[in-house]
This record gives sequence, C-alpha cells and structure tokens, in this order.
Amino acid sequence: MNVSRKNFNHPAWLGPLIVLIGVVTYFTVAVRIPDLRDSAIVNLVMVLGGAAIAVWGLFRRRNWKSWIGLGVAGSFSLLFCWYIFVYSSQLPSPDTAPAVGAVAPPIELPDQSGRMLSLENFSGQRVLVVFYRGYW
Amino acid sequence: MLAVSVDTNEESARLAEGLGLQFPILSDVQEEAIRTWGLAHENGKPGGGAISRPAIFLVEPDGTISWRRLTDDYRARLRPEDVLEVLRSAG
Repeated sequence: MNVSRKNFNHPAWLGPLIVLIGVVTYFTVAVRIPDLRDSAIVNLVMVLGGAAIAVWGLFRRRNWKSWIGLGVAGSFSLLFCWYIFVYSSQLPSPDTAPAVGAVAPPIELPDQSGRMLSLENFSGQRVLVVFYRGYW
Repeated sequence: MLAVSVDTNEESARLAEGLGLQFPILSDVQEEAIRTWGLAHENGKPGGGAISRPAIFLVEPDGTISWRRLTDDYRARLRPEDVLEVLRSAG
C-alpha cells in the first residue's frame, strides 16, 4: 500500500499551482487572443478556482504546508483580480484629449527610420492616428 | 495610418521588422505629442516617465477629428476589425 501518496495533501499544492498557471497564461497566451484578453474569464476561473482548492487543502489538513499553499494561492489571486478589475482601468481622464470635431493637434516626430513626419505629410488624405503604450 | 508611442525609433524599427509593419511608427521619446494630444499617462512606465494611453483618432483631410476611441481599460483595446468597420462606414 502506498501510504505516503495517500497522506499527501494534493489540494494544498495543486491550488497555488493552478493559480500561478492562470496568472502566467494570462500574460503569455490570453493577451494574444482578444476574446480571452478582454474579459479574462478563463484566467479568472483558473485563479479563483485554484484559490478555492487551496482553501479546501487547508480544511483537509491544517498544517504549515497547507497554510503556505493558501498564502501563495490567495496572494497571487488577489493581485491578479486587482490587476484585472482595478489597475488596468487606472487611466488619465479622457477629457484632455481632443474631441470629435476639434482640429487635430500637430504631430512632428521621427519614424522608425529616423525620418521626420507630420500630419502635413498626408495633406489631402484621411489619417488614422494610433497612440499605443509602447514596449519601452 | 500613423502609429505613435514613446519607444525609441530603434525599438519601433525592431517592432516593425518583427511584425512586418509597413506604416510609419513615430517615436515620441520626449513625450511631446502625447502631451499636446492630452494622452499622457504619467508614471505609466515602470521607473517613471509618461506613456501614451491607448487612443485612436481619424483625422480628416481638413485636419478635424471625425472619430476617436479612448479605451477606459488598457487591457481591452479596440480590435482591428472594429477600426476597419469604422473606416468602411466613413466611406
């Protein structure tokens, strides 16, 4: 009989593992798939499910290993929820940006090859101006 | 189409090469354009410095803005197909 296997409290380590996989795959996989990125639902289910499994692990066996498992699972799931629901919407007020009907402010900047470009270079054409956060 | 970020033009060149992008990517290292356009997200860059909030504007030949979209959650950005739909309906 495999006693050590029977005594192993699986939820205590599976819970935090599922939470960590949920967090990592959000930033590596889900961010590339708009449906998974915007709602983050799959990763939220993984992260919260993993935290619930860690709680279950603590109920099964109240020892320091279960507490560590719950600590890891709980803190990472809280951080992830904070990022999804709070942090990513902390943006400056949109009121400072030019409104529809306003004249577009000037832009004169170098492009990726170092050539200076401005909106005047596109006179007579519609221009789609896309500001993005960048990769620094 | 013009893209703008606070990346250096070397970084933008790498990005354009990696993704095969043909349009100009402007480099606003001095944070000029993002400030004149009121889009600066202060301390958005780890370690300080402003970055642009994600924003898209359609500028008409006469220089006026006919459409804009500012996301209120930077994770959830406008999708390319939505922008194409706007451009199609704008004629």
